Amino acid sequence: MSEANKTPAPLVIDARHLTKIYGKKKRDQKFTALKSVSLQIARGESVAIIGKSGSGKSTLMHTLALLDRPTKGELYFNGERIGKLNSRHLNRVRNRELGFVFQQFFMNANDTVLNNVMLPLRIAGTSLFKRKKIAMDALRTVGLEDKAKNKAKDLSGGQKQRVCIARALVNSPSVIFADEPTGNLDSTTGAMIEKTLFDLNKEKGITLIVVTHDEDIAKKCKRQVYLKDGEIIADTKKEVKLFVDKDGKGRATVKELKSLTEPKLKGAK
Amino acid sequence: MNILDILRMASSNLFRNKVRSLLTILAIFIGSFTIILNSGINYGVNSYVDSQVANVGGEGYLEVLKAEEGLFDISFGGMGSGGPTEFDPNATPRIQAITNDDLKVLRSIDGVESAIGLPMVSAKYIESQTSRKQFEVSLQTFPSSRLLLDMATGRTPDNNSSQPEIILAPDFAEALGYTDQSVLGQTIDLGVALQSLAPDAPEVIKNLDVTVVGVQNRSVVGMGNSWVNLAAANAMQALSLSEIPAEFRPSDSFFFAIVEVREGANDEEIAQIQATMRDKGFQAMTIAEQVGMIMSIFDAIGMVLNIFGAIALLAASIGIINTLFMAVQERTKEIGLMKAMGLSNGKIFLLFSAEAIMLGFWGSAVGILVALVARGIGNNIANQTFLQDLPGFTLIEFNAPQIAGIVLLIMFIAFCAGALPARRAARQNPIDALRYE
Repeated sequence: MSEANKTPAPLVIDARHLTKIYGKKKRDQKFTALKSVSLQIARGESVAIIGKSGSGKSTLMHTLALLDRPTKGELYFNGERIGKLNSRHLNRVRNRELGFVFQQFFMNANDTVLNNVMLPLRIAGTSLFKRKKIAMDALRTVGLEDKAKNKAKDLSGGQKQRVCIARALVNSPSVIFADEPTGNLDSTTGAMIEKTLFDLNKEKGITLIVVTHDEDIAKKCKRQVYLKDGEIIADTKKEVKLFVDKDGKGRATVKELKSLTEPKLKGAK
Repeated sequence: MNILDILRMASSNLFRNKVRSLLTILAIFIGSFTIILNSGINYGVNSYVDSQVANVGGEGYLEVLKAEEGLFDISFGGMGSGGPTEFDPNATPRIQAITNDDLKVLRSIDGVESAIGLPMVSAKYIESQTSRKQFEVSLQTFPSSRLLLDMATGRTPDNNSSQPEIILAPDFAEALGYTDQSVLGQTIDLGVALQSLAPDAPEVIKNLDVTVVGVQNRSVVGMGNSWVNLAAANAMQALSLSEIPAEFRPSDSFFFAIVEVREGANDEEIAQIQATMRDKGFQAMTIAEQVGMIMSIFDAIGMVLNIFGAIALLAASIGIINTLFMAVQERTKEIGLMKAMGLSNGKIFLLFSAEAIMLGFWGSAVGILVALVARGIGNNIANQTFLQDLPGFTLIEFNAPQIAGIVLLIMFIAFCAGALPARRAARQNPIDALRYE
């Protein structure tokens, strides 16, 4: 068991047999959102978690993002077992290691762009001078440094999402979770947001985990994890290897993968 | 997140909902204003009483009545509990005259230095020997050399002197045709009405010469009285009884006795003496207690104001709870986001508590400002009306530590009111909060 407390260093997230059950009291009201899900994500990967609503993808993201605790199973973040952290340490990990980009932005509309971006630094207790500097750098990364003094509500949807990306960036996290990041945007703006996110992944080596039901954005990630009814039904990191052996082409596309997994599902029913 | 940031954020959150915050502050203001103003009155009255008592000295002697306990309830007439008292022909009168035997009893009490009966005096008028103008005058016998009246000039009457002496109430010197300075040493006349046994006899008034030895300032103890010394009082009594045959003159008896206690007796010893006197059927009051009784009307007003202020604060607390519950509801997502970003439950609690405390602070700050304005207006009105005769009496006086204490108390009340909503905010689950629509 001593081995279970350590995982190889390059893994940023190591989830083992995560099970999440809602509604504990009565057996017939129980709902199992995750069924023994195991997932290893290495530093610098870009992973799409794909599934329809009710597939458990949000629950999985919340669990991986340390916002929710699994009913069963073990979760390691940067090699540390999460269940064993006290709340102070947990808050520190959330603050320092994780960044969030949400579909609904979750911004303080009446506050300035700069203040919105500075929020994680404020929570971290960074000094005012330092936090302004870091936040301006982050805004520069997303190309919005000239909007720093504007009120958040005066921005367009795409600008708002870029502000959110800047906010996710300021603490230089090791992982950014993006929950339907383009869901509220038109396709042109969406493409721009996608580009910003993937650039960060490539240039800064930040692990990117995108939760989506949109195949287009999922395609752009290097790895896809398909979820249905609380189970991983396909994971390209594993499947590709299998697929390559059959096909010989060396790399599978998502479309091909889909055609591979679908009959499997039908057969299961 | 450090404390300064929490305060800044709480402050900007309050500012985000200006109208709601203002209304809550207004509610707190009503309570805080009332309490601050009331404490101002309380302080004003007490410091005046203190200054008066300090002026009159007064701890060195007692005014003694021969009366049963609870005498001072009589002033409330039938309003006391139990309704009218049935007449009992064998009961002793509630107040009795003090006789020479009583004085002996008083003198025998441990710690008593002297006891004298204080003759009641009255004069029909006071008359200037130069202008011959006559004025009505309210006279009192000077009780003790230990009474340090607030003197404009001269000295207090000397009860050991055989010369009749008087000190004038304020404004009398001028009315009699002198200045406060020039009247000193002058002889003026007091008109004493002669008592007669014949019911329909015309009133005869004879003049008694007295020497002016001092002029008083206005004070609550002086109360517009002119004071004569014992020699003058005895002379006036003798003059008033001069037409009555000796066998019909009343025997020596007094309404009041003045008891001087041993020099340097402390409050405890005086209280002991008062208790002993009570056991022997006397009621003894210090000058401070007498002044305090005059001022007790302000205490009653203060009590009512305090109750009103407390009720207003209670209502304001409910306002704070409501405001913060609405704020928590509105900012559920924000709370969720901040928690997701690693803000601890404790800090979230602090954030909302800080809002409550700030509401309390601003409410009491506005209360102080308005109370300052009210002090100016109130004191002006009071000095022109019911406090006209009491210079040096500032009705409303503020005292910084007391007000700081009130502000802290109100901030604490606000904190308590905010604790429930703040706790709810702190306990939000970040996912539920982010999902909240």
